[in-house]
Amino acid sequence: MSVDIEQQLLSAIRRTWKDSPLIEEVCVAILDFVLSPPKKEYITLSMLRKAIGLRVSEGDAEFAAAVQYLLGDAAPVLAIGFEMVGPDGLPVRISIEEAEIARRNSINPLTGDFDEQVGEKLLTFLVPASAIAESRSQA
Amino acid sequence: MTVDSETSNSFIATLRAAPGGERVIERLSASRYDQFVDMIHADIDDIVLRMERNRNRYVDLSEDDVTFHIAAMLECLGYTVSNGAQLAGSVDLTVQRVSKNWLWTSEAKIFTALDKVNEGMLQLTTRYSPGDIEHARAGMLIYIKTTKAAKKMADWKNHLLAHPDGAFAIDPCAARPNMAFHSTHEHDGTGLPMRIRHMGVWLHFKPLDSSGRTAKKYKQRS
Repeated sequence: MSVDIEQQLLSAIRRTWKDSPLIEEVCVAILDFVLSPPKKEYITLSMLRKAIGLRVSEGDAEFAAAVQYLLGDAAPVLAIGFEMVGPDGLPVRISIEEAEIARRNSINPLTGDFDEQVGEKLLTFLVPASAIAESRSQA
Repeated sequence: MTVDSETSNSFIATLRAAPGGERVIERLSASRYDQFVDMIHADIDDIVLRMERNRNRYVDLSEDDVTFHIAAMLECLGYTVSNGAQLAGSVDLTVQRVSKNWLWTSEAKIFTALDKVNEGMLQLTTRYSPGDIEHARAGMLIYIKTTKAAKKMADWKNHLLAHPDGAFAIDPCAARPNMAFHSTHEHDGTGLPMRIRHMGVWLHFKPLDSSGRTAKKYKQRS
């Protein structure tokens, strides 16, 4: 991980959340987790909560605010991924654009069929943002 | 896939604990400039609604401070935001998606007179906006610290409609019907259509209960 990128992310987090120390703390803990070995490839929200030491239902608002922020452009630490179980029982990756269209229109992205339950079938996970992933691969 | 895989519904349910969290997938999936700007507008509406509900906290802030607050709230949602970015002058509020080269600009004015709002509109349309295809949408934030905010927005809309060349086409805003509207006009420089969302922010606060009537700080407000 490039020290420059890590410092840029940290300073963005500190600038944005200087008046909300709890959210700042959660953001920094998530950044530390994403940067720590082993390389992260599939992070769920529950894994993330455990990894940063938040107990169930503790700090829900701060955790949600931190994840939302770190998924954005201001301090890109996380990226979002989607998959669905295909007809052969194996997971199939779905792009975020396909996932949003599927959610908005209740369309199964694998079959094209109307499916009111598609939001329960689209699996959602987090990965390190591309800047972090690229920086790690160069290190 | 892991044993504790989460569905998109449960993901959104978790993020909903934060303001704006219910729209995170929609925000991140914007693949066209129009979608990006629509999300900014939806997020600003939420921020403005929270400000209007707590307007006693904002009524005494300056134009720059109110804009700074909106910018800070947008940044908390993950946007790349600038206050006073240089684009042929100091723009009040810009939001960018750097990876796509998308830019949304906004000018902010406290509504004291139509001429003052018009001055902001001229800054936005003739100075700051490059008016090219990718930057063809913008916003006017109009802070109204007096009564009858909806009428002030209607007056501003009528002012644009009365332009001698009939330059502005107006269409209503379904999200905030009385406090926001859209205008479209031909950009002076490029001749391409430029679309602006005019957003009223109601920040008047003069309570008429007994403690409000006697409080010195409310007495001078109209």
